[in-house]
Amino acid sequence: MNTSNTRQANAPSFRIITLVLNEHQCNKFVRITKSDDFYGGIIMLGRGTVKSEILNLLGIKSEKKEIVSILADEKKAAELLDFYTKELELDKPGHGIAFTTEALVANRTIKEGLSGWGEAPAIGGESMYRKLTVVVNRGMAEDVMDIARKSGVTGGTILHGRGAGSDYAAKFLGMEIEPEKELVIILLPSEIVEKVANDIYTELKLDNPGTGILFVEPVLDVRGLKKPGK
Amino acid sequence: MNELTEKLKEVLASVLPITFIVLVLNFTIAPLETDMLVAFLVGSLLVIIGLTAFLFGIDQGLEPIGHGVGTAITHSNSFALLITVSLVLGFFISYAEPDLHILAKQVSSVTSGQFNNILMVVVVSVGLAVMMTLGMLRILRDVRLKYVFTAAYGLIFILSLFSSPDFLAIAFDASGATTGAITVPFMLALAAGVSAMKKDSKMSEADSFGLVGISSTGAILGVLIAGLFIGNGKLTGKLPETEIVATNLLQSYLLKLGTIAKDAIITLLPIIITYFLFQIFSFKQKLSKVLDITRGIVITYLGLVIFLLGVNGGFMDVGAQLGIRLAAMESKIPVLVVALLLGLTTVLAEPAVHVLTYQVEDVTGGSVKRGLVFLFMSVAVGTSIFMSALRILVPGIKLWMYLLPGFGLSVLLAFFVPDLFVGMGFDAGGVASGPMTATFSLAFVQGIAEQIPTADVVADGFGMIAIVAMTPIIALELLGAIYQAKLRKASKTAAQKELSTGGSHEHE
Repeated sequence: MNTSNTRQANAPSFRIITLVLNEHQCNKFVRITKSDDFYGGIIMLGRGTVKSEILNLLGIKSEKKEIVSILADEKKAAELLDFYTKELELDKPGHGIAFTTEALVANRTIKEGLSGWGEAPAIGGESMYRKLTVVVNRGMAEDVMDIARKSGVTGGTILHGRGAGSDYAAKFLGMEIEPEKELVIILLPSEIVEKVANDIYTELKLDNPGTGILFVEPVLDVRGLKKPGK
Repeated sequence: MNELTEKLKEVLASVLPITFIVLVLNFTIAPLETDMLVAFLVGSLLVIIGLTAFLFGIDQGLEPIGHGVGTAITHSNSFALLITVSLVLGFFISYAEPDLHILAKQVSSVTSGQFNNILMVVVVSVGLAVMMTLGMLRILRDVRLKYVFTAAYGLIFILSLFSSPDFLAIAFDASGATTGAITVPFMLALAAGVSAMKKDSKMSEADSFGLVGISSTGAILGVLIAGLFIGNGKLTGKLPETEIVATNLLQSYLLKLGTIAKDAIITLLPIIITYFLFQIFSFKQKLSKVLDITRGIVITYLGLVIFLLGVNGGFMDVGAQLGIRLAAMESKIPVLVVALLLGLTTVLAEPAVHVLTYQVEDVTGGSVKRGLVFLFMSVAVGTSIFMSALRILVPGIKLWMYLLPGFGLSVLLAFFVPDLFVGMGFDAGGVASGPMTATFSLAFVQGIAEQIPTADVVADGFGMIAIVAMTPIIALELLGAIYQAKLRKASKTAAQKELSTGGSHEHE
């Protein structure tokens, strides 16, 4: 396995597109989405703020939102974002928001033994951190954490949602049946990110289609984390 | 205003179908008196407003309280506290349910006072409290739902061998009566609060459901066990006459407002007291949060009162009238078709059903769609009202012929479908028999019974709730089976597709 910290020319780059939509718009998202466009993703339920004074007076301070995160190729990302903006009319107020962030490494990088772990520019001499996100089937999040702990990670955060636009969404009476997924977020020092990601990838057999996706994002600074090994 | 219009739209979609069906019937085969029709339309409007407010109120008031209490009890790590709180709370939320008191009075009169109404309320509440406690302990001790339900319904089956069929019907009705519009959302939130603390997410999800279903069996067991001691022969007495219908519209509503307003306060009281006790000793929330929850409770209360006013003032009489008119017709097909349609549509307007479907979406991260749950519940309750009507028309059909295979199948299916759907199904059984069914559909079925000479209004009136409580269990368990099969098949085809394209997600 290549442990070099520099990004190689042949390493693919990835983008995470995140959309915050209301329920209706999210249904539309699922309808118009072709799963071939990206590697996979997750839809999670959340709450958005309500600005209306009248509603606040009635105690309605938040409304239901769905947060969609999908992992796509760098080359495809801009095209996808434009596509969703047009189809979901995101440029109109109240129709939802979307943004793209960068991911250094995803399933494929590991699978093909490529290196894309990125440089680790240190700030103030401290070791740099990475954000590792793993999306797995419901009930597997604990397994992810167990593997991560063995590799030196101290903790993580688990959220849950359902698979987005995967091939695995079946239809029943015109309604999508999407598999339940769990999302694990782990912040970890860049020295161990490759080992942890590789361990999770091999032990959970993420190379089998439909098992899960994994990606690593750059993080600029962290606070409040326990120093590993201390 | 988005959130408000969205909710209003959803409520409209739930209430308009039933309004539409009644209007169509009115202009075709079963014309209603103008007064009654106007009362019905006003009732529909009140139901729409009330249900919208109620659902918002639950979100802001009851749900956070239930969830908070569940989490706090689990956090305390004390079984003594868990048992005490569940027993006391279970007893009082059941005792405070107005529907239970109405049923108890009816039972007292049909058993010629042998089964005293206070005794009835107490045994039901004790039964519910005990089973609710077991239901809470089950979550923490990881006892699978299917074993609990097998044991509970096994016991009910054995006890029912020693009870008269009429008495069995009363027992089931009691369980339907205790799980009202306030109790169910609270219990759902409580179970979710307790199970949210569990480490295993898959178990935690499944365990969010089932508490309502388990508690319901407590009410049935309570009545059946009490029946062993005080004798439970054939029902002999007469049903008390329902109150005289007021002469004009305004009067008919005003008369009901007082009772409804009082009953709703009593129903909410145990939960309000619980909240303030927990607030003082455990939550210690900020004032703004307390105000939010208080406002939530007030909105819940107003919503419930408006909703019940609409149902009692406008829907009940129409239900009875439709039953009488249609059953009087030569052909029995219209009455059966209408029974099916009314069942299909009334359940949509049932407040607790909305709460259940929202919890299903929340707990599964949106994976199990609200619409599918609604659809399956709708078909289930439609079938059950149809079955109830059929039972009245055909004297040969006995209640046990529905209940024995029905509940048998429910328990059997529990061994083959995902735990999540088992809990959801048994909860849905308790949820489906809410205020809409207990007034409108029940009045309709009793209206039919009045027209059919072979029917016994007393015996046939009881028992409908039991059928309504049974069919949703089977329906949601079937949904679970379909769900499982669909996902399995989809992941298989995806894997094959994956293989044929070389195992990589390559882009062109």
